[in-house]
Amino acid sequence: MTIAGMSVVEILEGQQRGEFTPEEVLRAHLDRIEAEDVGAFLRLCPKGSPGKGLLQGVPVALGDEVCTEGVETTAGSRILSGFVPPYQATLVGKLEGAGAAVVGKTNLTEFGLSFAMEDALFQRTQNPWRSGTTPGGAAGGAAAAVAAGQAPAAVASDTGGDVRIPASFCGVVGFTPTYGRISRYGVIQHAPSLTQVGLLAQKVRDIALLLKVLAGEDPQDATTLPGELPDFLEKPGEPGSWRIGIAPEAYRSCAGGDVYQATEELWQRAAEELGWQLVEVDMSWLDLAQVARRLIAAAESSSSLGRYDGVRYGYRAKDAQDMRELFSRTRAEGFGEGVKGEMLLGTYILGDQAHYEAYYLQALRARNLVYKSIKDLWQQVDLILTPTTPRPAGEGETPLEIFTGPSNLGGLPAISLPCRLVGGLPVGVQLIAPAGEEGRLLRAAHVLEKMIDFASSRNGGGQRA
Amino acid sequence: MHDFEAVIGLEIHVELSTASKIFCSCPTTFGAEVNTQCCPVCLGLPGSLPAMNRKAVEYTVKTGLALNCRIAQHTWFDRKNYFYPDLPKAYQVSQQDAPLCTGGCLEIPMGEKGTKKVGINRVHLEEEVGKSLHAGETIIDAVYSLLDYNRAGIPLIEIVTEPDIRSAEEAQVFLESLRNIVRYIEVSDCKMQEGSLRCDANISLRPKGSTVFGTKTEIKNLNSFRAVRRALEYEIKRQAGVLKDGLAVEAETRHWDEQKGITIAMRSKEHASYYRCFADPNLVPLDLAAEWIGQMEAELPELPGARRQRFIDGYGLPEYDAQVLTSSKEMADFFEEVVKGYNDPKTVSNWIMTDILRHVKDQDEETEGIPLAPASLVELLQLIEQGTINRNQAKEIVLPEMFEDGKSPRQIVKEKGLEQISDTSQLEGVIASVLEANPDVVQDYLGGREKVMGFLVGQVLKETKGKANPRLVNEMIREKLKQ
Amino acid sequence: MSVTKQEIKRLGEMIYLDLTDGESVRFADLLNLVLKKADDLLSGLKDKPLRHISQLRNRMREDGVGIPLPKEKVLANAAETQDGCFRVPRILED
Ligand SMILES: [Zn+2]
Repeated sequence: MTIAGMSVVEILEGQQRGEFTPEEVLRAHLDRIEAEDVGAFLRLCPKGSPGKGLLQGVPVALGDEVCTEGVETTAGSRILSGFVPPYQATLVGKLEGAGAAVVGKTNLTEFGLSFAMEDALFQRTQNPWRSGTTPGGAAGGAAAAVAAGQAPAAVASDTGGDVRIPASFCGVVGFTPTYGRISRYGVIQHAPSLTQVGLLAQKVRDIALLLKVLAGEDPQDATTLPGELPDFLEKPGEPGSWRIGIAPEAYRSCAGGDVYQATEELWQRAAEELGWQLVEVDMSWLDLAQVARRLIAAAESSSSLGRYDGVRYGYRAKDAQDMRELFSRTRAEGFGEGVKGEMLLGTYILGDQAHYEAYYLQALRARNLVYKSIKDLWQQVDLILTPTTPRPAGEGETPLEIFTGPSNLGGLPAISLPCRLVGGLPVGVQLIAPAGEEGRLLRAAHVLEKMIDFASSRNGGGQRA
Repeated sequence: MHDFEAVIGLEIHVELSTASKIFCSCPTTFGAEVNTQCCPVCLGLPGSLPAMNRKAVEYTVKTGLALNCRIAQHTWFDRKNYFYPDLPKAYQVSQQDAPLCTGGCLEIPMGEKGTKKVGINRVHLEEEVGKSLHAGETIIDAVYSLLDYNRAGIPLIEIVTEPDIRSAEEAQVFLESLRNIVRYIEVSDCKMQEGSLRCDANISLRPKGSTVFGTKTEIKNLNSFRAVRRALEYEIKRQAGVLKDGLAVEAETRHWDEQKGITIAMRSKEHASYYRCFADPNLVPLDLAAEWIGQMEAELPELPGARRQRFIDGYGLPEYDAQVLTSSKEMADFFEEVVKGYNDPKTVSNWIMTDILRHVKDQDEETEGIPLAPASLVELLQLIEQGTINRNQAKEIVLPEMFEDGKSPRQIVKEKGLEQISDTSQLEGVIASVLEANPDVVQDYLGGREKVMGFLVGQVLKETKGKANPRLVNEMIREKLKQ
Repeated sequence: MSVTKQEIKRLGEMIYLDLTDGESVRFADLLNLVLKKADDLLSGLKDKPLRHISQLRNRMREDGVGIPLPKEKVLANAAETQDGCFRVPRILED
């Protein structure tokens, strides 16, 4: 087996057995990046031999919204082209402190505002499963890199499915922890109330390892969770029967037939083979959650992206005569169409008292409705199982984030596992857990992952062509 | 003018004197080299996040408590969105919907008219913006501007009064009283010159007796107490003129031009817009426990009002003295220190209120402290009491020197050779010659005109260049003429 | 009530964003689409607005002074500087 394409755990074990060195691991991945150009990376920044630690010698890709000191960071926007942060994200320090090697910065849609990777501005990223097909977004570069064996793991932000959607499309594991579990300091965000720092890898065990390194309180991020970290994977004695919430009716109306069928088959197998107990629950609020999340993201974006004015950093329009012209042209020339639309939407709904009440405040009410509805579900179930995306990579009506957005609204941990191929392309299945229950989520995902056995299963046929 | 009443509300911004900024650990030192007190957080670099300074919250709550406000038990911070080059994030973290402190009041002394209560609408915590330095005389004819973000992110409180103020004088007294309180509780140095205390005023006129509000203007750029008073006096006249002409006052922002002594309408599209406020997700809410608020209250020092009363009750001072002495914390502290060493409160008060205040007032409006060590005033008073120098010498010669070069009174007395002559043998000859030279006066005295004694003593003092101890001279002459 | 092209231009002015006519039309359509959906799904909700997803409270740091960025780093990303400051064209419009 070649090094590039191995999971994080395989790389660590291989190094431990003396089969290869950290330098060889890094070289192998850089070679793979060169050999198979899927447009995942915006730029490479391989550093020298990293130190010791839990992730010793593990190459990690970072979404380009993660600030790296001395390395250009653009968040996928022209308005930040050339911006070299004089500081780094807390998570970068943690990764490097654990011996991981940051290989490069991956492509994303502008500020991560669109889930359609086709909207990315700097370059086209291919789905490694089928050239010419979208990898999904916003973290399309990160997912493509992991799927193509160019990095065994990646870190990118998720405000509505940005990590899980491309994970689903690219056949890898995508995970978002509880809101505040991983520090957001130094991660460029458009909607901080929704942003969870997410992880991508090939296996659930890899995710657990990364989470162990990255989780924890950060004095520079007031929303990070204090206290003891939960056991993510080691907890022995898996209960044989989790109570699993499913909403067949809602799924059927939102997801394509193939995807629905794949998901249904999966939960039936889980019930039979794992003894999971299925509980039908109400999720009639999926559409409402989708619209509320979009409004909140738009409102926060209209504020968070105000700082890009050409004065202190980033793109600046030439020869402006006064401040208004400087700001208005810098922003007109620096932002892409998608971001402008969302900022205008956000400005509209915050822009006067009546709109604020009719839209922004109503979106916050809807957020509470979703928050409470899911909270109530934990009386009946331990986990919720949904499709990750309504379809595999490709065109469709239903918003891509229909199943992934609610956990961002609620600040809940969620994970997408490759489920099977639909029309030759992967689709994922999502598990959602209560806040703070990453341990339960990852243990259940680990069991489910084994059952699915995506890489070698008949249904999965889970090897890339 | 008699037919109109002014309705004035003040909006005061006070920079808190924390060591570090509100959301980052950058220092807050005034006057540092440009852009040397900045970091990713206060520059609003992408991805940076705020970390709330506990002291900023404490100082805000203490200010609220000192102004008799209710302290919110649940509160949060909003983003106030607008664009300006000095605002690095294009939003100011502030408190729109849930201010920390609301519904207070401040009683201000209005001389013979007694006191007046001014309502405090709110005190909230926010962040300071950077500084624009305009190339050119004013912002209007500047071709370009330079931005320094040293100030950006210094914690700032906004204090908003109810429209309870009725005259320019009241506005000034209010501001002075407010500053006094804020300095008493040591949450800000309140230097208007350095901008750590700033004031905007909203003012409208209405016919006397009316209860509806007229159209108000907002006056900005009030950089001193004098400016507040002058600008409001001007604006009252201006609005009265407009109304008397049967015209309407424009609702607008006006800029006080200190040089010309007028207010000028400002066109400012930038700040006219709605601020699109919403809760900042990057800061978690504050739930303030009643015990914690109680602790803040317990930590408050004695406030001016209470201290004034104590000066009356405890030191037996007249109300006027107590008022003046407690009008600044430094002065009240000074007074109490001196009384510790020289236990005659009324004498100490007289000295401070007349001679010392005269010296202080000759200096800058901003200098609050008395540039004397309390111990040196104690020493001066003791020198007078001991008869080493007389009161006049103390006031006219020693005290100015003390202010001038900070020498101790004893040293000044020695250097100037001011010690009074209290040696009878030295004085006897002088007295003898004075009596000899003024036989008529001596006759008058012996004839019962005791008043002429003053003249004789004066002559002796003149002969001794003021060094003779007058009390002693008086006694000696009396004794001599008895014989 | 639908959002007009003019309204979009006004919103653009609020957030300092020059818009072409074409953009204004497209964005008006976009907003109308989203707002219609919001009207359909969100109006009438009576739940309490959820302002903070973080359940944490009172996160504060002590008032300690740290080391600021060196001035060169502060200014390194700026397009135009002068005398150690960021330079912008005249602030007031004619
Ligand atoms: Zn700072």
